[in-house]
Amino acid sequence: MRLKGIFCYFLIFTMILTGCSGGGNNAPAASNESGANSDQTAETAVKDSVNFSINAEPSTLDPQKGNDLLTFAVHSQIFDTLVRENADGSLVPGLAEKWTISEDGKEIVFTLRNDVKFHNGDLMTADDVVYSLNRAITSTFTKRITGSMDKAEKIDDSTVKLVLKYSYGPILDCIATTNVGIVPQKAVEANEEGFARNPVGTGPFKFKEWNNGEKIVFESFKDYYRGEASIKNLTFKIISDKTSAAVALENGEVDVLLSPDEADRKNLIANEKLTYYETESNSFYFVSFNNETGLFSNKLLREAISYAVDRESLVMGALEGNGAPLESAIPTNTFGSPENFKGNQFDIEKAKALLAEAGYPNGLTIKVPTLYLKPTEVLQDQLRQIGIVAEIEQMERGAWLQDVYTDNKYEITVGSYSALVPDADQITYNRYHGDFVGGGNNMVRCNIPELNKELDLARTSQSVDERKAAYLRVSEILRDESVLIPLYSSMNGIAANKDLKGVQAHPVQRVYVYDYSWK
Amino acid sequence: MLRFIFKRLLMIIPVIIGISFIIFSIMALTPGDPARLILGESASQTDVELLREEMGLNDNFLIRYVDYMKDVVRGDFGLSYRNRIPVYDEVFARFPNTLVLAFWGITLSVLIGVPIGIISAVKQYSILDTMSLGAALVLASIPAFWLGLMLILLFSLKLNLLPSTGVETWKNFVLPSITLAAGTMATLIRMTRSTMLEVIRQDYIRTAKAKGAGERRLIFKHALRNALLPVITIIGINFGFQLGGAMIIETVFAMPGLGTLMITSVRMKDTPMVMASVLFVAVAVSLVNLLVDLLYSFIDPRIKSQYSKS
Repeated sequence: MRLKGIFCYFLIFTMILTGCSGGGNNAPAASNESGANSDQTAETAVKDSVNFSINAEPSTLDPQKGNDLLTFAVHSQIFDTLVRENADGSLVPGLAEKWTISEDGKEIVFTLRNDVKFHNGDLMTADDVVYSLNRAITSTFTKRITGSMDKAEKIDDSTVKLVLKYSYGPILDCIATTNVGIVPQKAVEANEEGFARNPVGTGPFKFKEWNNGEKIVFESFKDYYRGEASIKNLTFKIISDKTSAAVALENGEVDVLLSPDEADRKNLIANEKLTYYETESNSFYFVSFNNETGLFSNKLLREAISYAVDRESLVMGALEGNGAPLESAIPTNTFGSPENFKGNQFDIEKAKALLAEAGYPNGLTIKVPTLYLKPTEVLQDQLRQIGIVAEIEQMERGAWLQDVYTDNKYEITVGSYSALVPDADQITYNRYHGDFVGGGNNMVRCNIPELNKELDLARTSQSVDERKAAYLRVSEILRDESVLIPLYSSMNGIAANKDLKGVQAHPVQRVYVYDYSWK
Repeated sequence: MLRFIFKRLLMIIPVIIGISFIIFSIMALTPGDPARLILGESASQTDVELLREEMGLNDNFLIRYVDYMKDVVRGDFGLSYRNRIPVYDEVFARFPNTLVLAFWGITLSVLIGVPIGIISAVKQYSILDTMSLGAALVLASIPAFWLGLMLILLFSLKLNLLPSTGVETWKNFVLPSITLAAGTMATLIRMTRSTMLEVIRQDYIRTAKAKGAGERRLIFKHALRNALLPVITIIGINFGFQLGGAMIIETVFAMPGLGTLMITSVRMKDTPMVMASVLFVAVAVSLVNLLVDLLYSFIDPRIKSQYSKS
């Protein structure tokens, strides 16, 4: 009969569906990338080895080709810089014993140490330093860090001069990043492409092997200029699924986990065998407007939204309270961040009034493309309170980078910035200066002469107080014009076996395994 | 017979061409700039443009496709956009992990699923039957992701018997294989059961029984052989799925295989890597399908003669 036939087809259909799902094709939020490898079993964590879990694979081990924080974290085990960042964040001599900065701030002369060896046994020379600096300057990957640098010259066998294009406030911070790591000229020139897979540096850890997608293995460098590290074997394991990584940490397969998932935070803190470290991040989330074209070229509309935003609720909703509201466009842990600064405060009545003044007394509908669903959903709800209907368009990273970030085909979006170096210039200059509108820099498309002036002043001044005052003005202008709305900073976390000492969370996710030791 | 095999092998070629064209178009025509993804957010647009020129991304996509295929035919799959390593080496290095995983996944599901299905059919409506049907339902409904994590929590964390990540020893493959086998097992239980039920009722079985054949001989020699055809089809199809799509298992268990490679490469718009991985899997699946068809001929002599005729 008819019914029986239909029923049969329905059964077959269901079975086929069953077969399909059984094959493992459902993909509920499967995370990032590659896989990793389990060296030792749970109990026998050797007392001089560290297994370090990271959630993505560095694209290269060539320091002048790295451009994301995770890659820097791995590079900093292999390479050193002329100026070194100490555990407390201060800058101290590294491969350079001392340095002098010229009156106009455009030249720095470094006196080099003469006892530094590379992993291949060669002594570090001034030629290597000059070569590395120039290589960093010409690399397309490092422009944010080396944009102010012009060229490096050798003065004599222990002195090197770095010439800048303009006096640059955060220059020493930049020199302390691994993008300007010192590499051996001979080794790189012998095989430039291969260097990325087989690096040689002066750092505390010597490269041993790299199993793609699995792990990167290092051993301590015996002739390290500061003395050999306590940790003799270091393995970075690539575990992209955050839950698996947390489990691996809990059962001892890894000893440290960088950037654990929000959801695992409470469990990891409660676990007696682990210690959880965190600090406020140097990155922040914000609402960005296209100030030039479209709906939000209307300043009153931007301002209305700035009063509709409730930062506390956003932190609760998006991060379950694990973050800090941010009032200025310069994150708290960054030089230049104005103290006790207040942005426009949450005030629904004022928001509604401004909305009416802007010409939308009955509200309006807007489209919000974004990569970050959680904060945008909370924002959507907050906007609904003043009559704005926000349609969220969740995008994939590549698409967002293309359409919103580079081509600026948007009106409003929720995005995030992080600075590679904890200085305000890195997170403001290219972002808000009129000379850099569009093209993946100034995506708010603003060009405010007074703002440009302050940014230029802050960038080139050599006076700490002058720079701070300028960045205060910058924050004020960005707030008064509602160019963008800073929302909050998340926390950078790192969880480790409680017997591993020396672990620290860092605002820019720097990792210094040299400081680690087993109790 | 050999002609049949040869013809089937030839047919793989248009399949490969079709798949490569589709994947290449998708990668080329969807938004997302590989150069920007390589250089990162802080790079200037001018640098990104320079890199695009260098990588040849600004050429017409058809020209790029033809160039790519010309290289492929010579065996050159190109360099990864992301980290400049030869694509072929990378894919070839990772393939064994996925292959072993898929192999054990299928083997486990067959070794457990088929016998349970047979028993279910032979003892239809008994307790065993109901239980196996229930188990099949549960296994089919559980998402692989969840099952994998639960197994890790139990065997790795609580009992500390097996490792949770990596591919070092055979121990690393136990939990992932079980997770992968679960879904296919469910299908096989039900499929084997239903085909066996159908076959058992056939006249020739009754005849054999009347002629005095024992239970064992009846089931294995007469019934199973006939029931096996649809079951083998399912095994073949699922092996293909598992080869290409053990992505979730690989992610949960942090195993460096083709699945995770594909995910990373698609995210970074690393076209050469995506193309090579997909083509690799496509060829593997085609070969497995061919094997399945050949297996038919072993099991069913009628089909064997059909192949020989064509």
